[in-house]
Amino acid sequence: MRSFFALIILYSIISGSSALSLNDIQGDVICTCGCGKILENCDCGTAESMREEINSMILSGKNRQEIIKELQSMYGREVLANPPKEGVFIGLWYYPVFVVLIGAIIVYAILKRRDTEWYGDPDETINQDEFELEH
Amino acid sequence: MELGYISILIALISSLTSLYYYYFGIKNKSPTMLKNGEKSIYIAIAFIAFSSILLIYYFITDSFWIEYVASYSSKELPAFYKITAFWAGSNGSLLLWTLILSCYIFAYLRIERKDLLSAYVMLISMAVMTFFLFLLATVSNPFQEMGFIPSNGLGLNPLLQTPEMAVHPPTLFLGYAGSALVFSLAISGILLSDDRWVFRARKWIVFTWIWLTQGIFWGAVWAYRVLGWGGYWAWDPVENSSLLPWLTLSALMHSIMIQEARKGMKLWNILLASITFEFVILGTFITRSGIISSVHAFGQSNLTPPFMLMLVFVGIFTLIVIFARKDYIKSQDIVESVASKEATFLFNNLILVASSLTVFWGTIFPLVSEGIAGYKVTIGPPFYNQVITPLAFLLVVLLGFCIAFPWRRANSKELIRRLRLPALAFFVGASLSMAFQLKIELILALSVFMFSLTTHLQQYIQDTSKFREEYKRLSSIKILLRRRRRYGGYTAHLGLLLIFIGIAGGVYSQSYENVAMKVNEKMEFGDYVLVYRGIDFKDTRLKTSWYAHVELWKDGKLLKIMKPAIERYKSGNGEEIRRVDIFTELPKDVYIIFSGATGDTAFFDVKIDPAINLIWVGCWVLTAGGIFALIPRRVVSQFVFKVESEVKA
Repeated sequence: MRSFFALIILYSIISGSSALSLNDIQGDVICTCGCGKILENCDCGTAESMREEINSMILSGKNRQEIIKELQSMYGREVLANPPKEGVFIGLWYYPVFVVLIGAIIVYAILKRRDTEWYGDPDETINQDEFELEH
Repeated sequence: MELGYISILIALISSLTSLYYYYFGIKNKSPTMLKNGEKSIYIAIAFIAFSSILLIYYFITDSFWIEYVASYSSKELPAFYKITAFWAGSNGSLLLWTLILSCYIFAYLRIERKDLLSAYVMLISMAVMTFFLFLLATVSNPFQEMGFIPSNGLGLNPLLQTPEMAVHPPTLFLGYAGSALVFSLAISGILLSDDRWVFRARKWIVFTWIWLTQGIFWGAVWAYRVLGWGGYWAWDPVENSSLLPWLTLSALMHSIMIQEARKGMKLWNILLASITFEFVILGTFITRSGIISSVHAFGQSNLTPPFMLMLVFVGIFTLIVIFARKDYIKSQDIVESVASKEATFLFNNLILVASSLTVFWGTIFPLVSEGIAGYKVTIGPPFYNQVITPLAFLLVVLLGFCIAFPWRRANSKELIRRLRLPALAFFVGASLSMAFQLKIELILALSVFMFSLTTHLQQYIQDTSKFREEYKRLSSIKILLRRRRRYGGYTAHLGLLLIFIGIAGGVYSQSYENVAMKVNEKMEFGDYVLVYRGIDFKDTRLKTSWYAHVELWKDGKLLKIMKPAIERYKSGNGEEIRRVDIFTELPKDVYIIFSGATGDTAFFDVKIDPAINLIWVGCWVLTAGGIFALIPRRVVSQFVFKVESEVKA
C-alpha cells in the first residue's frame, strides 16, 4: 500500500513539472473589457491583446507570480480572478475550512450520542399509506 | 388601465383575501372560512393564468405598445421565440415564477388532504405568492404601456433564441417555486408541532429537486452549445445561485429520512427547508437586482429593497417559529453505531451544506469586500475549483461507503466483505490510469469513481439475489418498484458519479488550441484531422451568417463537415454571436468556434472534451432516479402489493 501511494506522489511530481503557458495564467485574471469573464472564457479584442501581453511576458522569461504582479500594476487589483491570500481576503480562503471544521465537530458530537429508537425503515415507509403514517 | 394589469390586481386582491380567510379560519377553526380561502386561491390562480396567457397573446400579435413586448420581441422573431420571450426579461420571468407557484398551490389543493396542516401550508404559500403579485403590481409590471406604438420592437437577444433557453427558465422556476411549498410544509409542521409534514413533504422535495436538476442541466447545456466559450459552468454568481438550493435540497432529501426513521434532526430539517427557500429568493434577487455583476443578470433594477426585506423576513420568521416551538423541536438521538447509513447521511449533509455555504460565501464576497476594502473583488473559478474540488472528491468516496452501510448498525465482517471488491476496483482504476500516464488528479478521480461505482453495482447484484429469496416469484421490476426509494436514490447516485467523472475528464484532460488555417490546409488535432475548405454566406430577414466549412477526418474517414458560424442579427443593436459546431463521438466532443477570417485565413478555437457527454447522460440518469423514487404508492400498490400478497399466500 505504501509503495502504491509513493508511486502516486512520484508520478505527481514528474507530471507536474512543465513549462509555463498562457493557459496557466489566463484562468487567474479577468478580462478588462468589463464583461466580468475570466480571460480564458472571453474572446473579445481586449482579451486578445491581454493574451498577447501575457505571451510576451512568458517569452521574456517571467514566472507566474511576476506576470500576475505586472498585470495587477497595469490594470489594478480588479484584474485578479483569484484574490490574494492576505489581508481581508484571508476570510474568503479560510472560511470553507472553518465551516467544515465546525460541521465536523457537530457531527462528532451527534455521533457520540447513542440513546436512540428505531421507528421504521424509510425504504418501507414509502409503501405505507400517508393516512396510516400520519396516525 | 390595461387588462393584464387589472388581472394582476384582481389576483393580488384575491390572494390577500385568501390570507385573511385562512388566517381567521385557522384561528377560529372555521371550515367555512377555510373553504372561502380556497375559493379565493382559485380566483387568484385563474387571474394569474389569464394575465400570463394575455402576455403571450401580446407577444404573438406584436403588441409593441406594451413596453415589455417592445423590449424583447420584434416582427421578424419566429413565432416559437415570441412565446419564449415571455420569460426573457425580469418582469415576465417574475410572472412566470408566480404562475408556476400558483400551479404548485393548485396541485397541492387537488392532491393533498384538506386538514389543518394543509391550511397552514396554504396560508404560508399564499403569503409568498402575495409577495410576488405585489412586485408585479408595483415595481415589476410586465404590462406597462409605452404611451405610443413603435413600428417594431427591439427584438430578442440572439443568445436567447435557442431551444435550450426556451426550457431552462421554466424548469428552473419549477424547482424554485417548489421550494416555496417545501418551506411552507416545514414551517407548518413546526407551527403545529407535528411530524406529519415530513411524510407529506417527501414527494414535493423530490419533485422540486428533479426540476432544480433539470434547470441547472439546461442552463449548462445552453452555456456549452450557445455561449460559444467552450465551457458549461463558469462559477458566475447567477449560476451559483441555482446550485445553492440544489445542494441544500439534496441534503434535506437525505436528512428527512433520518427524521422518518429516528424522529431526529427536526431542527436541522426545518433549517434546511428554510435555507433552501432563502437561497431561491437570493437567486431570484441576484438575477434581477444587478447587485453582483454577472453576464447572466437582467441588469440594474429597483427590486433590491423588496427582496432584501423578504430575505430578512423569512430568516427572522423561521427563527421566531423555531424559538416558539423549541420543546417540540428537541430531537432524539439518531445513531446506534458510527458504522451505519445514518452516520453516512450526517457526513453527506456536512459535505453538501459546507459546499453550499462555501459557494454562497464566494457569491456574496464581492459585496463583503466592497464593505470592508472599498471595492468589489471578482471571485472567479480558481477559488471555487480550489475549495469545492476536495469536497466533491469526499462526496464521491462517501457515495461508495453509504451504499455499503446498512441502516442501524453494520456487521464488521459483512462490511469488509462488501468493501473488498470496491477497494480492488479502486486499485485497478489507479493502476490503469497511471499506465495511461494521466494527470494525478484524474488518476485520483478515476480511482474513487471506480470504487463508488463498484459498491453500487455490487449492491444491485447482492440485493437481487437477496430479494429473490425473500420475494420468491416476484419479478425484479416489482422488487425494484417496491424499493423504489432506495433504487431511485442509487440511480441518482450513478448519475452523480457520471457527472463527476465527466467534469474531471474535462478539467484534467481537455485539449484546446487556437488555430489559424488557410483554405484547404490540414491540421492534426488529437486523433482527428481538420481541413478548412472556405466560408459560406447566408442572408435572411433576421440575420446574416458566415459559415466556415471544416472537414473532420479520422483514420482516413470523413466524419462530418463542421459549420461553425458567426451570425450578425439585424434587429436590436445588431448583435454578433458565434454558433459553435460540435461533433459527438461518445463520450467525447470535438468543439469548434469560428473566431473570424482575413483573406483566405480563418481563425478557430478547437477543443476536445474527452468526457463531456457523461455529464449530460449523468444529468438524465440523476433525473430518472428522482422520477423513479417519485412513483406514487397507489400506482405501485396495484402492480406490486396485490401480486406480492398472492405470492406470499
